[in-house]
Amino acid sequence: MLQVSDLKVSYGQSEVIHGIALEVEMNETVAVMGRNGMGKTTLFKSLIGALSASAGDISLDGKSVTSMESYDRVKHGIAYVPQGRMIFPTLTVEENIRTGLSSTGKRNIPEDIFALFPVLWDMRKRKGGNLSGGQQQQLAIARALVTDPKVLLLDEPTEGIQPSIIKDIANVLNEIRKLREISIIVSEQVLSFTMAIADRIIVIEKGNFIREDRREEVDEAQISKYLSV
Amino acid sequence: MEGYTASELMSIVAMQGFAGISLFSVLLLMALGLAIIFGQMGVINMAHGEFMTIGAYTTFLLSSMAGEFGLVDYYFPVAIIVSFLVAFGVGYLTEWALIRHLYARPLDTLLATWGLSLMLQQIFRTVFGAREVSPAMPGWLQGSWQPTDAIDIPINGLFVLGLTVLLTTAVLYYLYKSRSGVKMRATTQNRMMAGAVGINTKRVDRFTFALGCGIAGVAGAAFTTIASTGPTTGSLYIVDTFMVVVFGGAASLFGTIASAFAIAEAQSIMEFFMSGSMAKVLTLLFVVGVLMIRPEGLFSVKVRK
Repeated sequence: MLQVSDLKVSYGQSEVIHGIALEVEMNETVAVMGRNGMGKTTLFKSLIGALSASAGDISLDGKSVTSMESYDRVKHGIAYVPQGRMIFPTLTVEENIRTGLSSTGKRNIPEDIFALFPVLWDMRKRKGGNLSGGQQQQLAIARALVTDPKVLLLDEPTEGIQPSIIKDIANVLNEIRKLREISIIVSEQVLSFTMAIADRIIVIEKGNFIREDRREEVDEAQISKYLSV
Repeated sequence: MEGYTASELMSIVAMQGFAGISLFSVLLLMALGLAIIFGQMGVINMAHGEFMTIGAYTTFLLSSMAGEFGLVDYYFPVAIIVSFLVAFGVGYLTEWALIRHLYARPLDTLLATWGLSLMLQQIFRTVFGAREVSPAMPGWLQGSWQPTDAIDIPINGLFVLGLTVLLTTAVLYYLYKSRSGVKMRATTQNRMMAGAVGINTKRVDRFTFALGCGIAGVAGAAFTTIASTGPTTGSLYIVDTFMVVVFGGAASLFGTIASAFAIAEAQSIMEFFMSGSMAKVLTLLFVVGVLMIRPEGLFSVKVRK
């Protein structure tokens, strides 16, 4: 589904991602774990096209999207839920979701979105900026889902969210996988969350992938060592 | 205020109030475009006044052409549409050539657009001459309406007011009810994220800027009915227009409307009782005072950051 080869990303002269390779199968969920400053967000931004790659290739279904702009990548099936959620604060919840419709040409929000996130239906007339952190996270996921993605990128979805909601988000993500043909790449620091959703866990350190395990084979103590400060 | 009877005072307030409404209409028409460009996009467009002048000269050119064919009574509605299209087109080119390179550097847009404004003024001077011009006014825009003996309300003022109401409603509807309005607001709030949910932000930016300029063009067409047009006409209004947008609260269109009304009315009613510059000083002092207490302007959208 998604192939990334030899991806390098730099801020000016300083290279932050040093030639990463990644392959994600259809319906697979991959977690990229690592401490702050190891390159998770940079990697995700370059996948969606908010940062351009200095070398390497990103392909979706065999078609290279490396030189495409963000909106074009969305049209080809990549969706992005950024760190910090970045919903549009002065747009209503409904308008926030509608922004995702522009790439599909659909007029109405599909009903299954509100079935997944009933709280958004209750809040649909409220301004996005007035929602709680957990509700904003659900809104950001809903906004990404209405673009009909093949690959969903989630950058630290549990950051700053209370534990009970983290469980809800894990359940929703598993629900989405059942309902749709979708691959998910998630970056995280919370191991219990990734253990609940991921098929594969990759550890990133200083811009390189240094370890990869299938969930069944994960040694939690080992991976925790890369996460604790 | 001795020497005025009560009914005379009433008439003065009514007529000056209406003069204020004419000023309000022009200020609001100008400010609507700027509220989109500055309030929504954050581009400090010093050339905004010149886009109004473009509309005014377009109207003048059309009226000269209409004069030759004896169509003076009919050209004006066409002139409004053509003024919009010309200003929209020039705005579209400006965004492509200049503004799009400067979104990350808001202060630089100030210098760049100021330079553009000087260039446009010189172009006007070269093409149309330094002398002020006035398009021929259609007969149905002349004269006045007298509800009582003491009150005289000019028809052109009523017409400009009607146009302002129409255009404001259209802009509000477009921004808050249409699908492209949602895209526009999303893009201006967070350009990167709008791209990442599938909005072609470059196209939206170009259209937004051009739309603001087009509205300034309509303001120019309306302006010709109440005053004559010279190369520097636009620059006379740019400060007032920025004041209206900032005072109203940069991101709020309703604030822009309220603030245009307050400033125009305060100014023209005070102008009758004191000198024009004194009225201006008092208005400015009041605006400064309010902005010290509420730096975000009269109306601001309250949300969690």
